[in-house]
Parts: sequence; structure tokens; C-alpha cells
Amino acid sequence: MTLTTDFRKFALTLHVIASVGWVGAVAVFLALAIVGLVSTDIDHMRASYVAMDLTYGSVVIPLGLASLVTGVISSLGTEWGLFRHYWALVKLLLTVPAVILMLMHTRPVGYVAGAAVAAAFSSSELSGLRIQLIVYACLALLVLLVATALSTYKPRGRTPYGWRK
Amino acid sequence: MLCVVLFDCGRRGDLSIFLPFLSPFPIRSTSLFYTGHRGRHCAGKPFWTLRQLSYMSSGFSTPRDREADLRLHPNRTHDADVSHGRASPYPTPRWVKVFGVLAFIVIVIFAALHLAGGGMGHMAHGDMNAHAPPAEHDQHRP
Repeated sequence: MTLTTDFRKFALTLHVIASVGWVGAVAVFLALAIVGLVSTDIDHMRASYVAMDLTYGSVVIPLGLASLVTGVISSLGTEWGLFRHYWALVKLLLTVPAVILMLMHTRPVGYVAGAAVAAAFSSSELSGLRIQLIVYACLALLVLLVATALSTYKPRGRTPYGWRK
Repeated sequence: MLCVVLFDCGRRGDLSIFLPFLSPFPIRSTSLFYTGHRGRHCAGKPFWTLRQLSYMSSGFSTPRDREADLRLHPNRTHDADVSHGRASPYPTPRWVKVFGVLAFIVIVIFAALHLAGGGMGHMAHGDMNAHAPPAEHDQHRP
């Protein structure tokens, strides 16, 4: 399947926008998670976790899904293919688990945000879970940066499937 | 008589310059040149090309020569002699192997954290149940 030039550029533009936006949203998520953990002001903490929850549901997840979908469309519609080159395959193998883990962590993020607005919320509460959110945000950011670098450098190497095609 | 003179430019297995000219020397009929491009073997035939070629001298190349050739021309391995049977026809780039090792390490660490009780698993039944559902907290918003 080969897309027309206009549609291919349109899909690529959407993919770049979604991917870059995804990286930025995860960076914001990480910043809010850090502020929520280290802040001594309880209002700051609450605001951070509420903003985290909103950002996660309304920006991070939609952009992540959009990035995956537009990436698959772009790769299938060009000579690169989805499984022909290792860099595209590695990107796919990075993105799909990242999206799955992102969807799996909707509940914990919402839970922390809900707990943060409780009157009895203290700075020591749910510390393990709040640290985990930071760790996962760091890992997600790392994965997205690696995927971005792969897209830019496009290191050489064809898969066995790519050689046969 | 049209002939081919091969200048070895110092790299093992690489012959970089080919000049056809009139030569007084006969071509040995036992000479065997491997083009490295099409997988053809030109036995004793004069040929002319501007492309850089690899070679197996007189069919006496060793497996080490062959591996050295593959290292020098990794992008041509699909054209390489698949009947040799030693080198993979679909080599995996080194960066992919490095990625694979790193991914394996990350997955192991991730699994270890979860198995040690530090992951989200404990939260689903432990910490989360120790608090009221998030929806109820909205009533206590300051």
C-alpha cells in the first residue's frame, strides 16, 4: 500500500505533531509528579495531582493513541513499511507497550488525584505510589526520546522480512 | 587483447580500481573473480566495471575471508553467496542487538520490581482499598 504524496505528508505531519505533543505532555506530567512529591505546600501538592490527572486523561492518552495510529498509517503507506526496517520495528515495539502501560496506569493516576483532594491528605501519604509515578514518567520520557532519535537517525538494517520484500 | 588489471588498495578483499587496457599477459583460465554484486562468478573472463568489487581469489578464500568481506560490505549480504551456509543471509545490526539487551534488562528490572511488591500490583488491592474511592473525595474538597 502506497499513499499519495499529499496524504503521506499529511499523515506524517499529524504523526510528528502527535509524537512531539506526547513527549511534551509526558514531560509536563513528570514535572507535576515531581512537584507533587517534593512540595511542602499541601495546596501545591493537591493542585499538582489534580493537574496531573487532567493532563493524563485529556492530553497524554489522546496524543499517545494518535501517535501510534498515525505512525502505523505513515509507515504502511511508505516504502519504510512497518516490519521492513529495524528502526521502524523497534519504534513499534517501543510505542505499543508504552501505550498499553499508559492505558493501564489511568486508574492509579486518578486514584492519587482523588486522594490528594481529600481533607485528610498528608504529604507522606501514598509516597510509594507517587514515587512510582515519577519513575514511570521518566521511563516513558526515555522511551519517547529514543523513538524520536530513531525516527531522526533511521539507523540502517533490514529485517529478514524486509530483505524478502 | 582486452584485459583487466586489479589494483589492491590495501584493504583485504577489496579491489578498488579496474582498468581495461591492452595487456600482453594472458588471463589465467583458473582465475575466479567474485563480483560481490550479483553473486556471479566470472571464471577467466575479462570484465569491466566501475563499481567496487569484492573477490575470492581463485576460489581459495577461507571462511575468515568471507566474514571479512561481509564486514566490509554489510549492505550487500543479500547478494552474497547463500550457498556458503556459514554467514546468516539476514544479519542483525549491532545496534539492534544492543537495543535488545537493554530492553531485556529493563523488562527484568520492571518484573523484579513488581514481584518484589513495589509495583502497581500491591496498590490495586492494598493502598487503594485503604482509602475511600476518589469520587467520594470530591465532597471534601477544601
